[in-house]
Formats: sequence, structure tokens, C-alpha cells
Amino acid sequence: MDAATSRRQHFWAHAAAFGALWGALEVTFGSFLHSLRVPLSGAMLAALGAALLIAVRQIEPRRGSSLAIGLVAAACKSISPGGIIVGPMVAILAESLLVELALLARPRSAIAAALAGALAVSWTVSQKLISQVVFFGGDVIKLYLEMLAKIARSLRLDAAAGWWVLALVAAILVVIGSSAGLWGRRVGRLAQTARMADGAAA
Amino acid sequence: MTAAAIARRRFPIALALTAAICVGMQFPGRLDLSALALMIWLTALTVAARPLLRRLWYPRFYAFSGVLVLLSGLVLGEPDLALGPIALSSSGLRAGALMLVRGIQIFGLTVWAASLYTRGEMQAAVTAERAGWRLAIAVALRLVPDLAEKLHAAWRDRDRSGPRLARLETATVGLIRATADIAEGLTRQPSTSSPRRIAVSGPSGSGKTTTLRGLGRLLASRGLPAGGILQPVEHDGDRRRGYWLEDVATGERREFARRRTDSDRGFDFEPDGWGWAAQRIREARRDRALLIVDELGKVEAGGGGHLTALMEPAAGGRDRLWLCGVRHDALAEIERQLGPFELVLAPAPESADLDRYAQRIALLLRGPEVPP
Repeated sequence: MDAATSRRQHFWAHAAAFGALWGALEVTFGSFLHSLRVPLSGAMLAALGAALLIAVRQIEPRRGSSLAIGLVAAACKSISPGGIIVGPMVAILAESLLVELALLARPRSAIAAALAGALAVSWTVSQKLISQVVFFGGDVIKLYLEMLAKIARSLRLDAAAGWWVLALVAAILVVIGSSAGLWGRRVGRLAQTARMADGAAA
Repeated sequence: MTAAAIARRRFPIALALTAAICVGMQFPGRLDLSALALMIWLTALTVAARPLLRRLWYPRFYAFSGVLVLLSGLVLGEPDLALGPIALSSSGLRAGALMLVRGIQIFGLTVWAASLYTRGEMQAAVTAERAGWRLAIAVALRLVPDLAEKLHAAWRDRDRSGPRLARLETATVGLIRATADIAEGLTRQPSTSSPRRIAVSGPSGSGKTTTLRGLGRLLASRGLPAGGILQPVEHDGDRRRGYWLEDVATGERREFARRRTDSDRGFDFEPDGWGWAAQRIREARRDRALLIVDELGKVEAGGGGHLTALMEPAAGGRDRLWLCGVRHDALAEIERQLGPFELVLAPAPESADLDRYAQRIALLLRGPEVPP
């Protein structure tokens, strides 16, 4: 077997195994959270997924591996029980794409890990908005902005107060995401160190 | 016929054209045109794919859309209507109604589009060719049940002492290491060392378990130490009351399935039994030359049950021969997933037949372990 084939096999073997792990997480824990209607369950799952992708990048730093794992995990999600799967599949693909982009330059750096986590978790809210624009048209955004302004007026607040509330929500998501990213990096490094100690890693 | 089958078989081009026209009618952003487009689409579905209309009943979507309409009346435009004490805007309500109509239209289109291919067809399409990502998806789909079991086990067997975050971290590191080892195993397993596979196949009650037990003892006495699981039946007169699991290596038994009390068909399986059996299969693959796995049937044909432990990559195992009891009606599907069996034997519990089978297996192995 030539080196290129071997590298390709190694790459897709990791994508298969870790994509299956993420898929299993989505199928079991994800279905559990969604069926319980836990608030922010999408953000929690995105944080876990991002942490996993970043952890794997410490073991398999090759470019494209996060995206490949996302592709495999999205396919695994198709076996999930329950009717609505397209939304979660799109979310998995989008999150893996964002993590891939964030880790493109320096896959093992802490800043990239924090950015990747923040982007992936922020996507959960963006996807809800985008899907509502697809279904209901651009008016839905106008409606939300008007609502924010009206709430601010009724509370006798400055019109910009609504934007501050939005900024606070976004900041919370960014903190959750970057913490997950940094934790994923730490866990991945610990796993890689342990594997090196066992002599298992190539 | 299913809704999906109807949608695919009846007027697919006419429906596609109608869908395109309805989408086009949404662009001017006029409520009358959008409502007309929705009426056209619902009529088309009624004529061509009526069962799909049922799928349009999704209460959460309609509740959310209704709230949007009301909010639009409250928030958008100048109030010019009164609904009791509440002042509403007619232009806001129109904008909300337009959103609602568009929402139902897009929802109706997606329901139809989603019915064009079943999940099975999509999975078959992506896993059809043996290359790169398609192969990775095919492998991953088989790994998911086992990794789900690993996740469950990591949660169940977690260390309950010490700080919670540290325990979570230790469990996660273990899980990532185990998954990385699986990935390594996928690349390391040489195809030439694959064990030979033999099936004993027949209908329920034909003697597969007895044949496997007898053949296992015979081969073990001739130098092939056996492991794995048998699944003997517990009878209640002529009726099967349940199944046991039996460790081939130790003879240890545990109850596995009980016939459902409220039905003549089907069994309730003890969930932990699958994990127990998978562990025996893994141990046998690692330590024994002969692996016996009984009662591969409908569950395994669906990709679950004992099949997951058989599909796992296992580098460096000592297994040279697999002897599987396979339900005749599941044989083709199991072969599709596991690969073809080199020999398919009929159940034959008589000792003369078992001797004959042992000779055939010896020829297959071409080794001194099973001398004539």
C-alpha cells in the first residue's frame, strides 16, 4: 500500500469512528434532550459536538477531518428515532464546517479552539432564524426587531436596550461555546498523551 | 401503499411543475397570490398524494405560526382594529397572514420533497460504493449501536467519587481513547487474517442450536477452543416461552427473552443481555479459535443485536473460524451486512452428520487442528 492510500485510510477511519461517536451522542443524548424539551438543548449538543471535534483535532490534526466527521455524523443521525431529522443534520454539517474553518490555520491553538466552539454554539440560534426566514420570509426579522423596540418602549427603556439584551444572549452563547472548545482541546490533549504513553499513537 | 410510494408513483413531473409555479407565485409578496398558490398546492396533493396531507398536521408549527400572526397584528403597523381591549393593526395582520400562508406552502413543499426518497434509499445511495466517505459512513452506521452502548456504559459505570468535573473529564478521555483505538483498528486489520465464516441456517425449531452445540464440542475436542454464545429455547409445551443466553466457554446461563404476555407474537428482551452477549463474543474473538454465535435473525438483519459485536474491528484476535446460527429468512440480509458465508449448513444434530460437517470444516481450514 502506498503512503497516500495509507494516509487516506487513516483519515477516513478516524472520520468513521468519531463520526459514529458523535452520531451516537446525537441519537441517544440528543433525542433524550429533545424529547424532554430541555431549554438550550441545541446549544448543549452543539457545545458537545464542537468539543468532540476539537478533541479529535488534537489526535488527528489533518485539515478536513472536522468536516469529514460532521459528514459521517450527519449520516448517522439519519437513523435517529423520531420524525424531524433534517434540521439536526443540517446543524451538524454547519457546526462541523464552522469548526473546520476556525481550526484551519492552527488546529491545536487555544484561541482557535475557543473560536471554533463559540461559532458552533452560536450557529444553533442562527439556524433557527435562517429557517424561519426560509419558511416565513424576511418579514419575520422585521417583526422581531419591532417587538424588541416595543418591549423597550413599554419598559421605558432606550430603544437600544433590546440590542443589549440580544448582545447578552449572544455573549452567553459565546462563553458556553468557547468553554466547550477549550475543554475539548484539553480532553483531546489528555487522550493523546495517554495514547502516546501506551505507544498506540502513530 | 405508503404515502411516500404514492407521491413517487403518481404524477411526479406534474407535481414538480406545480411546485415550481407555486414557489414563483410567492415572489410578488401578495397575500392573495400566495393564498392562491397554497390552494393550488393543497389541491394538487389531494389529487396526487392524498396521504401526504396527513403529514401536514404538525401542531407545534401551526401554534408558532398563529402566534406570529397575532404578534404581527400587535406589533407591525398602526393600530386600526379593536379586538375587545386589544388594539390591532390590519396591515400587521395581513403581513402575519402572508407569513402563515408562505409557511404552510413551504412546509407542504418540503413534506412532498422529503417523501421522494425513503431513508433506506438514501442510506443505500450513500453507502453503495466502496470509496472514501461512502465507506466511512457505511462503517460508522454499523459502529453507532456499539458506541451508543459504550456511551451508556461510560455513564452507568462512571466513578462516583471525587469532583464531578474531573470524573466527567476522565470518562470522556477514556471514551476518546477507545474511539481512537477503534479507528486504528479499522486501518490495521489485514483482510488475509479474516476468520472463515460458516452458517448453520434453518427455520425456527429446526435444530440450529443443537447442531452448533454438538459441532462446537466436536471441534473443541479436536483442538479448536470455542467461545461465544448459544441461545437455547425454553419451551412451554409446543410453544416457545423464551430464550436463554449461554456462554459457550463456561456454560454460564442467563435469561434473555420472555414471550410478551399481551400478545402471541414477539418477545421482550432483557436489555442487559445484549451487552452480556456482546462481551462474550468480543472475548471469544480475542481469545478463542472458534467463535459460535447463535440465533442471528430479524434483529441482526436490521443491523442490531449480536451483529454489532461481530462487525467491530478486532485487530490481533485469535479467532480463525466463526460458526453462526442464522434464521433462514434473515440469511441474505445478514450476508449482505457481514459478508458471504463460505459454507451454509443445514441443521443436523445427529452425530454422523456432525462428523461429516467437521470434515468439511477441516478441509476449509486446511489445517491440522481438525484431523480426520
